Amino acid sequence: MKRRPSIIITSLLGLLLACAAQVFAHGGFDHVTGTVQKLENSVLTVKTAKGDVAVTLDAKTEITRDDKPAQAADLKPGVRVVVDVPEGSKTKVAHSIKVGATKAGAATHK
Amino acid sequence: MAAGLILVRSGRGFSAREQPTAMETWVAQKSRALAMPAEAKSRMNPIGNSPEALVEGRAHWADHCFSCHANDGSGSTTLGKSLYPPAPDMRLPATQQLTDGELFYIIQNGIRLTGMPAWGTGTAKDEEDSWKLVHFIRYLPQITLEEKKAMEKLNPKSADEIAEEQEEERFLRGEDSHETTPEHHHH
Repeated sequence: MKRRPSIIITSLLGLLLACAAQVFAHGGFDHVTGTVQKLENSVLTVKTAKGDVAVTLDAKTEITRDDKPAQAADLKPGVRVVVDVPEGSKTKVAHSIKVGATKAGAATHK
Repeated sequence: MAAGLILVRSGRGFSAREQPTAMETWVAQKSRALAMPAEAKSRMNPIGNSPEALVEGRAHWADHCFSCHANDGSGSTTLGKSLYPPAPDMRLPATQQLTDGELFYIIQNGIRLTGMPAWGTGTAKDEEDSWKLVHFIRYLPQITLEEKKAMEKLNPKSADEIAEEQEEERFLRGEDSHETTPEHHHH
């Protein structure tokens, strides 16, 4: 394979001064695990063991049940959910929401 | 050396927290284009774009590329966003307009001074896998939610992350009444 090294290219690359990063950590999401309290104006309130947590849904929020697309309408009070929000996020916009059974344990999914 | 002094004096230093400047991006893209052998750019994908090739490319991506590029190619992972330059959104024209040969060359040889490693080992099987990845990269703009969920099962995970996922699944099925706090992390 023919290479085309040149002083110009090397100099241009030198301008970048970037170092290849070593992989030390995984991309992260904070989990909010609990039951739905309410969903109002795209704000989902989840009851967790340490109190209520509010997360916001937007057009990109992925809602699934059993790895298949679900709807915001499935987020009814008492339904178990696991919500992923970007790690350390202050706005708490939900990246994804997994929908499960009702709190009583009766499966709401087929 | 001179460029390094300019960066240090400007206060930017060597931090990877900032976004590359427009000049850096332009220089990097031009340098990459100039440094890539012409015959590499014009290479055609020898692997047919079959559903099977796409499935294999998708699985390979989930296992090898997810950590930086995310399953959907957006680069929206903690690692991908923290690189300098950050992992690009590969669904966008800047990537999709590259030729198959350019994508293959980058997978095989990496990109110097970025986080992109050289995956090539010189074997025929390895090259075949990289060409299948090229098909999958072309498919990224159309990837579905179901496909992304299937890929999550193939993403590399630690034992703790696997245990955490299993605990979540039990919770979602109603098998565990325990409600946990939003303090766990996974990818």
